[in-house]
Amino acid sequence: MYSRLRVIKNYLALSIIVVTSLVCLIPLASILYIALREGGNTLLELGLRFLIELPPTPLSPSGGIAPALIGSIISSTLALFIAVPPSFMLAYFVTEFPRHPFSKVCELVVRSFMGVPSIVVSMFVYYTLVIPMGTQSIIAGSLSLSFVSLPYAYVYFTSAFRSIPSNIREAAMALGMSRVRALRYVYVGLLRRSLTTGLLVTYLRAFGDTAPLLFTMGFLTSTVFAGLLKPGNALPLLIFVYALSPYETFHRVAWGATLVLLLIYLALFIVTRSLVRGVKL
Amino acid sequence: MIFPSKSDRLLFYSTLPLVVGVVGLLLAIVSVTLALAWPSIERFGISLLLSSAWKPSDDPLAESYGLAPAVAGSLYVAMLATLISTPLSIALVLTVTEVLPRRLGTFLRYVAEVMGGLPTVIYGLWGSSVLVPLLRDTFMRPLHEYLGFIPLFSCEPVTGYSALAASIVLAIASTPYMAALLIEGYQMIPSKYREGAYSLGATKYEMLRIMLGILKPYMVAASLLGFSRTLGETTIVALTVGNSLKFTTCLLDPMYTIPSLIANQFESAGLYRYALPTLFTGALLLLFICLVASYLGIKLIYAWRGRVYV
Repeated sequence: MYSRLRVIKNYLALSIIVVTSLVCLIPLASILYIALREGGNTLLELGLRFLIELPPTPLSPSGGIAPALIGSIISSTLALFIAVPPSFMLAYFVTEFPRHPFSKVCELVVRSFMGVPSIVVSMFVYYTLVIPMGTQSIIAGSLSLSFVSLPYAYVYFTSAFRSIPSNIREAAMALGMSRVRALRYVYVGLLRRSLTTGLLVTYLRAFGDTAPLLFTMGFLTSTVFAGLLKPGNALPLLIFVYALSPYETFHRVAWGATLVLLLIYLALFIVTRSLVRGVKL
Repeated sequence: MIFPSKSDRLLFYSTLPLVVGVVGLLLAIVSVTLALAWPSIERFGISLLLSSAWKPSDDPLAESYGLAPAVAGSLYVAMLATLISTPLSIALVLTVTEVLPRRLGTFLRYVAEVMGGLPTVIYGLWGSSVLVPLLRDTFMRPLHEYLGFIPLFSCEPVTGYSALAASIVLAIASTPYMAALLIEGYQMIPSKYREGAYSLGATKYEMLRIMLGILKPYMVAASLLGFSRTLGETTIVALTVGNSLKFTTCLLDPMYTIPSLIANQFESAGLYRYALPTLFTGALLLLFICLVASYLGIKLIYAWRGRVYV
């Protein structure tokens, strides 16, 4: 039916496409392997102590990542609490009043916000919060993180709200529900899985981001937790700083921290995915 | 607007301040950056973009700075990375949506999603300690040896940390992100085009070419968004680009990009009068280019969406 040339061309092109895209995914395998190899040693050697000890000095043989782990959990949770309510409201506003000029402005501005480089956000927070406060702090880090993750939460929530089938929306309106009631009694129940996924995705983003924390978070190594208004530390930040340092001990800790970060990330990702699979509309 | 219910009015008016707040935040970021950059712009003017000096000094009159290497390096690295990742992400999209059987495709899609959300610092560490030495020995050295007569490859890759290495690691990190954008667009194309192509007797490859033809404006948009993201990327670049202030056009030389310059110099810049404003000028440039690129990308996507749904 097809000329031979076309058949050959078809198979050739398809195999090139598949091979190229498999090449894109090889790095992940390499990253997992290297992180297990390099970080696994550190983790096996120290076990749980790696998670609860203070980071090493350049010359000490080993150390842990306690301040970074605690700091990461606190700052990304705070960032989630700061970023989610406004992005949720904005997303609902934009899907419910799509023709209002404010919606159009909002849509454009929040989406452009994704284009703001996170290091610029970090510099901005440094000047507006860190300098007036006189010290880098976990609060400043969380605020910086929340600015960066707000547009992502917004985009996720808007697509969740837009996925509501129009017959359900019309049914809610036909029953005389106000938009707030419809949200409360119909949409939230309907979208609970995808809204939870949105939360988790935002949390994941905040947990892994480095650049927003560079000038805002500080780099706490002397104690595990000094207070919200005092400097903290974070896993990605610790990895970044230690990777740039010349000391062998620091590199080992960086790889151990990478493995921990990777495991947390993968665990959260799998939870997120298993939620998404259950969505039925 | 007319609201039938009180609570809707409340919803509307309580969200308005948030809209104003978000717009205000963006304006505040731009204006604070501009205000802090101003002393340097006023003092050095256009020479900031042309000079490659970086001479901090205790005497403000003797200070002299230029952003030329960092600006050039940024554009260089981001463009190269986008150039590499665009075709890769298109291949990835076609593989997971059309070419492979559905189950395998979905699985690969998850793998790509894992890669897309992976913290960038992990790419940076992996790139700097695994990929860069590997690239230096297996790719950059031969490139220099056999194609050294081309100015782009004329310099000896000593450490391997270079613009080329940074762009490759960046491309690896941004391919899944661009693929995720493209998948969203690809799935918006009505299936009548696919059915039409098949019914006219097209092979799968020919059908894909037709679909890609429809997707073309979206691809441009995705490239713009990917470009804006790679341009603002700090961690990967700072760990792999080599951080050197020498102005060079050779791809195998270490360079600086604006974000990596800021990350490296910010803490010490506070000691000198004009160093910090110069870094803020860099941030302003970065902000400007990134915002324009992502604005254009978003606009293109909207325009395309409107056309495809006809």
